Amino acid sequence: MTLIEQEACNKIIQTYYKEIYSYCFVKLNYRHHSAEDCTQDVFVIFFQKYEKLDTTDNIRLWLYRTADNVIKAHLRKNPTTDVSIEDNPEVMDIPAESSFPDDSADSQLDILTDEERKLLEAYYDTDYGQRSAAAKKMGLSLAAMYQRVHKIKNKLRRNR
Amino acid sequence: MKETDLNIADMFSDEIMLSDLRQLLDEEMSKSEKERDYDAIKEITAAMVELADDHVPEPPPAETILGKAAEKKRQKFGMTVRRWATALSACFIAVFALNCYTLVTYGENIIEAVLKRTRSGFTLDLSAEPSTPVTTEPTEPSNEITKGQEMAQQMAKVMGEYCWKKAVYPYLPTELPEEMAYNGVFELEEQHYEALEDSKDFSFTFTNGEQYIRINIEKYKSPKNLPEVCIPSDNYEVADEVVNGTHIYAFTNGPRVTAVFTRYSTVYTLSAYNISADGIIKLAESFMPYER
Repeated sequence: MTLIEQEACNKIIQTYYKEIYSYCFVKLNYRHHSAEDCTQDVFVIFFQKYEKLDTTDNIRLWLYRTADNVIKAHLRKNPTTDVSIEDNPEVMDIPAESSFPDDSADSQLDILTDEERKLLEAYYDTDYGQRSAAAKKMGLSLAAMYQRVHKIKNKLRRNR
Repeated sequence: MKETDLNIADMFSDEIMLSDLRQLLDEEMSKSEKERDYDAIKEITAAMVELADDHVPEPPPAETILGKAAEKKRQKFGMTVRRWATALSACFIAVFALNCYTLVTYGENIIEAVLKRTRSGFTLDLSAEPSTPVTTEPTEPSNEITKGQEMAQQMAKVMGEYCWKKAVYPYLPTELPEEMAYNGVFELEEQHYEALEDSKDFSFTFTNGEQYIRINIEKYKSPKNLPEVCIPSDNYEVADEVVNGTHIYAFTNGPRVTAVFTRYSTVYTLSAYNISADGIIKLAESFMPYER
């Protein structure tokens, strides 16, 4: 392979590696090493067949398709047992019905900004279907909203 | 710190958020490839990685990936070559075994055996014919000569003179069957000679206008050189007569009939048009050593 082609390959890796890794990580039930191996396999397969691909082929789509196949093959060799969300002890500890902490919890929530408090309220007071709408109201996607909630949670934990 | 303080962070379950995002991802993936929003998928999975407190590893350098890809290509090529070699070896062994079997069973190699057996019909191994001398019951000499004998003598004279010039002294017809004798005079239409490596071949064609007969005489150097004769029998009726220890095979296909027989190391083939199988067998039976 020429230097130019090698640089093109490097660019593809840099562009898509994180995305494909994240996809594999989720599909493989959050297993880091399995995801890393599968992601590498995806790109190895891609560069094996790189020369046969048409220039008009959608690389991103091709990579996702290959990722699906690699993940399937990996799971066939390494079957996993999924834990049901309902059996998760963390979930079971959450009261069935409760409300957002009242003012008596202000001491911890004081470290949050107004925006962060609103976000937490929106998250806590809604369920899945409503959260999507709530996120949209705030100009966020559901995924972005959850990322922020997670960051806020970590912030609260650090400041216990 | 209040007890509630400790619980606030724990109230925002990552599992629930992950479950929600998983549901979102599944909804997106359930769409057709054309309808999927891969940017949304990218965002969802990135969020899930963060929620799971994982980090994306640094991508390996292109050289590492390319090296592994090249290695896999080489392995695949090697595997393909090995598979072909195995398949070819298996075929070769199978053909070799089959060849041995046909040689032992039929005395011929597999190609000859297949060719012969795919042809409809059968073969005559004329070399296996016991070429016993013709012996006839001595008959009382008769002064009367039949029409069939007369015409046969004329044909025999023409054929004999031609063959003797090539130092071949074949059996010749001595009597034509009635269906030939009383149907006009048979005149020589064509005669032909060819010297081959192991035989001298003669061909004579006689016709009376309505019927014709071609007489082929193949004189081989020895009985060992006699060939097998393949006779297609899909539409042929076959008659087989034994005359004086010699098989005469007659094959009928509509108006055409062929008779084949041997005398010592000579093969006689009589091909006729508008003559019956009985007639041609009678003609074949009449072939005798010609007295010059």
